[in-house]
Amino acid sequence: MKCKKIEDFIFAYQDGQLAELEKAEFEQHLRACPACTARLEEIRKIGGLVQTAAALVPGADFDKSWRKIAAAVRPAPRRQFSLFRSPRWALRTAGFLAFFILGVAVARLYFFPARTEMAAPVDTPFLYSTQDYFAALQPILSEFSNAPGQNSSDTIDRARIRLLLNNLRFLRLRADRNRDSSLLRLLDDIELVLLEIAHLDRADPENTRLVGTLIQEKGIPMIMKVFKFADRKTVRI
Amino acid sequence: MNGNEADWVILAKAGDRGAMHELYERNRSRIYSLAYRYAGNVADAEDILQDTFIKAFSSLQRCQLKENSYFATWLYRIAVNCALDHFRRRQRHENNVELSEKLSAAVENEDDATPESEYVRNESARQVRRGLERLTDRKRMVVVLRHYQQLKIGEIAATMGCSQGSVKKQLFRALAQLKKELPAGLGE
Repeated sequence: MKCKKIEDFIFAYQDGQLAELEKAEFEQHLRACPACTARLEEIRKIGGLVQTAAALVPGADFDKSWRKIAAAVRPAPRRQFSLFRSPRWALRTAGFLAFFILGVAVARLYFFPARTEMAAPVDTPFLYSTQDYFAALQPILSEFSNAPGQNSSDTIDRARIRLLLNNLRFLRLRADRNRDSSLLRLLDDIELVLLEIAHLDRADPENTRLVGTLIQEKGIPMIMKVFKFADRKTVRI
Repeated sequence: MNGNEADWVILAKAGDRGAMHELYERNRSRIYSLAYRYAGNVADAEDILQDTFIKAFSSLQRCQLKENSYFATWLYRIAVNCALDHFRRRQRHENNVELSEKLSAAVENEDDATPESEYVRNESARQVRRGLERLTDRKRMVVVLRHYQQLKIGEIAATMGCSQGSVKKQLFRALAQLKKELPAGLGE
């Protein structure tokens, strides 16, 4: 045992708290080291002087002290549960859970938007289903794309075209919400064609032919068929 | 009712004044002795005693005692903090030198009339008391707990809320300072 280590053990030695082996080592070191013996003796002596200096404690007026204590102590009423007094960890956990649930809800809306297919109300010309819309659009497109100028009526049902354009906005909104980019592209093309038809003068065969060409170039009838017969989720055009 | 202390603690927690008085009777001497030996005068010691029990009883209901039988240890710890706070408060208002002078004067005056002054007549005791008064608050508390209250190092560390190493260091330093303060021949 070294002198420096002796300092760690002096008080434990005084308290009789050293293990037998440690005590033997400690005493062996003391026998061999006059400096450490003197140090222990000095600590004992000063400690002894301190103890002697205050051996007596004068009496006190304990009754007077009790009266003061009794007057000052106001036992607190039993606490009711309060959110702001509840343990800090409970508040933290509740806050974390609320934040987590909110985060999951937002993420779900962002990454997995609901695919809503609203049922068509009875007795309304509004077409809620894409397939119904395509079915309604098909005769008009055929009229312009198949041999323009032949078998065509002289007037354009502009009210019907306007209705289809209005209906198209709803379908676009839904496709946009469903992030269906291929359908959005198709609806953009249909809107372009319908706008051309709405402003078309039937007396002008050249423009009528150009609308037919536009329909063919965009491949609208073909893409509509693909949408009709294939699963939209897997088709990317 | 002579029941054990834990039973009285349960009643005191419920606001029973009789139980509080019983706990006060059981612990007052120990706490007063610590306070007097730390403060060195009856007035301060009584203040510390009162502060300790007021604080203890006021916070008994919300205190987190692991077991009600630990009340005495918990009370001891409150007493140590009250004693340290008491002198910290005083030192905030008074200059350290003035306080030291007042304490020394109190020691001188004890020679005159007070019944408790018998031991102060001893010159060496007076020198030791003066030396103790010049120690810092924490060092003085460590010496008081060790040499007056006979606590072991681990108990002092638990009471003061610090490590055993820190207690040993403060005790060595306090004893070394006391040795310097004592006249030649007394501490040798």
